[in-house]
Amino acid sequence: MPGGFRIQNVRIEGFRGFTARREIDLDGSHAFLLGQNGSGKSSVIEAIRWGLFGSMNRPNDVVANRGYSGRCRVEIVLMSEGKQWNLRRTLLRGVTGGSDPVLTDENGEVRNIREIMPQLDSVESGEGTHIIFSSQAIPVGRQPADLSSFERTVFRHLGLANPRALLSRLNEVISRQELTENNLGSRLTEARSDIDKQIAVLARQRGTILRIPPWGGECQPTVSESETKVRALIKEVTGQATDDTLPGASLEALIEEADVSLKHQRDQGKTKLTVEDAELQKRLASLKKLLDIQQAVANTRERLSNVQTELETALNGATVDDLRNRLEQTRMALDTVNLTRQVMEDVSSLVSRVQGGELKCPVCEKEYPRSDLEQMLGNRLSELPGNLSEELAMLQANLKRVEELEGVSLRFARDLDELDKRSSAAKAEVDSAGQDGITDLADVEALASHLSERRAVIRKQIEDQERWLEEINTQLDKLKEEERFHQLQKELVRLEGVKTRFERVERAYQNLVSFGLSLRRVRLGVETTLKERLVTDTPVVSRNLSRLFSTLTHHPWYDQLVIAKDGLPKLELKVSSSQDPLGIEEPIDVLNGQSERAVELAPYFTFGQEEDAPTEVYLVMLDDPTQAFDERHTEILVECLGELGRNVQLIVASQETARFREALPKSFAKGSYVIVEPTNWSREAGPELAVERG
Amino acid sequence: MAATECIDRMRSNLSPSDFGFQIQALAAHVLLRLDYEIVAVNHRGHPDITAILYGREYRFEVEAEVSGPRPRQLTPEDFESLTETPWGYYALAISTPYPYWVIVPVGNLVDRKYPSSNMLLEALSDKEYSAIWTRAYIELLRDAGRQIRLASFSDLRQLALAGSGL
Repeated sequence: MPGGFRIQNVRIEGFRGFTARREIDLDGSHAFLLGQNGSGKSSVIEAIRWGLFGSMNRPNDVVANRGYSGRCRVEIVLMSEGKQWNLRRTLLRGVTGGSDPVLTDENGEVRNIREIMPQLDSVESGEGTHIIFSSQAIPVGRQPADLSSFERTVFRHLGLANPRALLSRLNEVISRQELTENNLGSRLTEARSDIDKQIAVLARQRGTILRIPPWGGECQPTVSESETKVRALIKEVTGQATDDTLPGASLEALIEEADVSLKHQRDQGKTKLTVEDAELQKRLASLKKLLDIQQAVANTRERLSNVQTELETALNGATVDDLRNRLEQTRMALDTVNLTRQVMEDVSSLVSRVQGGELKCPVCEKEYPRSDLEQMLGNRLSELPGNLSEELAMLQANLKRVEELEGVSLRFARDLDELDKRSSAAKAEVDSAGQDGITDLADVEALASHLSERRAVIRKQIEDQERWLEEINTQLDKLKEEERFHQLQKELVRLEGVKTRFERVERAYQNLVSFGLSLRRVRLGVETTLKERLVTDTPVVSRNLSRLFSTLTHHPWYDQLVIAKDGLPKLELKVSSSQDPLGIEEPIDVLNGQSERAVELAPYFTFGQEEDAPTEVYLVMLDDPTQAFDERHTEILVECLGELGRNVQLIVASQETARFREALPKSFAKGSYVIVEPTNWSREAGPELAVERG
Repeated sequence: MAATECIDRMRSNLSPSDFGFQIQALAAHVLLRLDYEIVAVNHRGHPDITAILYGREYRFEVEAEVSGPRPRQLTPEDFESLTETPWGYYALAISTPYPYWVIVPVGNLVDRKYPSSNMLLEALSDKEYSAIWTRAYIELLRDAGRQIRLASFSDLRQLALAGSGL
């Protein structure tokens, strides 16, 4: 659409506060939306913006009127070089979702929007080269001094759009390149480190083997030589006649075979000998048991015999009952003697107490002379036996001993019975092991001796075999170490190969990084050249910015708004004073709110006013540009808008209804604008739009 | 003594920080062997080494890899000190599997957003200059391994500043 366009007509339906379709017939003239806050002015501007770009000021802003049952749709009729185009945008779903724009020509034929209006397709949310949009407040994250939204406009204005695009593209490519370089670099570093570590570990293991080589001091064997050694070992272990065990097998397989053969040999040989040894051990144990029992029988018999001899001596030809009778008789005699002695002693005591020469015997009651009686009593006492107590004690001891010996004798007899039974069982066990004919202890001893000798021979055979197996095992261990050495060698050779191939990857990576460095050098060149050009050319833009800025603000000191040199090629606005001999550029935060608003507006006017520049601004939409402006500055702003309106179509929203109504006729030709006042707003019907041609 | 063995012993006997300083001092001695005049070897501050050759001032930030490769990034202070002359270098001493130097012209590191891996640093390095450093370094370790292991950072620094090579 060369030559720009003008909006002829806008139809809004179901958009934000709107319900039924409202229409603004502009016929290519400027539109001033005047009214109080919340009346719907901004919604009209937002609707035009959405209709053109499909985007809102904020990405998640609600587009559709939730309470309206119809579709959310904005239709804009554009006129360009005498041709009329109809751009209709319909919300597809929800209240914030995507939209579907349809462009039709005068004949109602649908045309490719990208071909006809590429600027609408490529412009992001916000301002573009052809359409400039200023939202009601400064968007979050954008400071008035930040010219990034106008960058494309400025660069096109200066004829530097291509170097800027190139620089931008280079930045993107370099950014991607750096990511690739870093990702690849990290992975390659890790990979190389892994390879180096593996090589180091393997080399260390190989070094350990080489310090005490299993093949002795000779030179390193080849794999084939190691295989021959393993085959010889297998032959020795298995006793095979052939030298060519497992033809074609690898060293690893041969080692495995040798291992299996050795294990088999060890198990088999050990089993045969140890079974025999165990059998002998068992038989010896049986014999030992029999021998022990027979020995116990002999001992018991001997002890029984001794007990019986001692018993006979103790009885001395009598019986135990005889001994018991004698003991009883002796005990009775002793009682009699004791009683008699007691009587005699009592009588003597009585006699000694009685007076007179003749005394009557208290026993027989005969009369005796005292002396006779005393003589008689003395005689009788002396006649009493005195050793009956000792005899009784001796008899008691003898009887006790005899009874004990009798008990011991009986126990030995029982033990002998038990031993006889066990002996019979043990003998049966020995007989069952094939040793019939054992009759006495000597036979048993002879057999045990024979078996012990036989067992010693077997043990010796087992030891010899174990020693031989141990030697073979040592040889096999050495061969395994040899095999491990060959494996390490093989793995090291493989890893060295990997490393060699990896070096090719490294070189390719270095080429990639070199390419990245070249890109950076190109960028530096472009950036330097661009900066030089900007240093030369931006003062022109700065002059235009300053003119508008000083007109809008009439600031007593800061009368210049300039693109800061030190930030180039990034565009940033600073203020300075023409009265300052040093020309110091200062950040815009030195200004008050009104001047800051002027800074924000300045680019919109500057880039829209250039008649000869290839800026191609068709439409400037300003939402509440008089924020923070007093009456005088509002008038100045309208004057500036009048100048701007000569080149571009304006759509301006303001709540300064009276001031605009008064100032507009002074700066705009009659019929060149319309005043749109949203009225009678209601929740159900939305705003009505009163359109008045100025 | 083999160069690798010398470095291994230093690494096992010194703390990571001291090992880094020792390598910095050795870098100064490498420069001495390459006919540079050592102007400064800083224990703190930037750059780590300032040296002069044929009237040109060279500046070096030296780092040593202590325990395996890790991504590295120069600080703004490093950049500031190195970019004050056209001959600013980032010197990284690698110790495994064998000792070698990666000498990167600081211009190749400017404006990089992410830390650089060893492989990237090697790709950005001045290969010829790195090889010259490595040769001198290996010879230094071979010739004066014992002396190096016994000397402190301060000893090595003093010797380097006095122009007394090992």
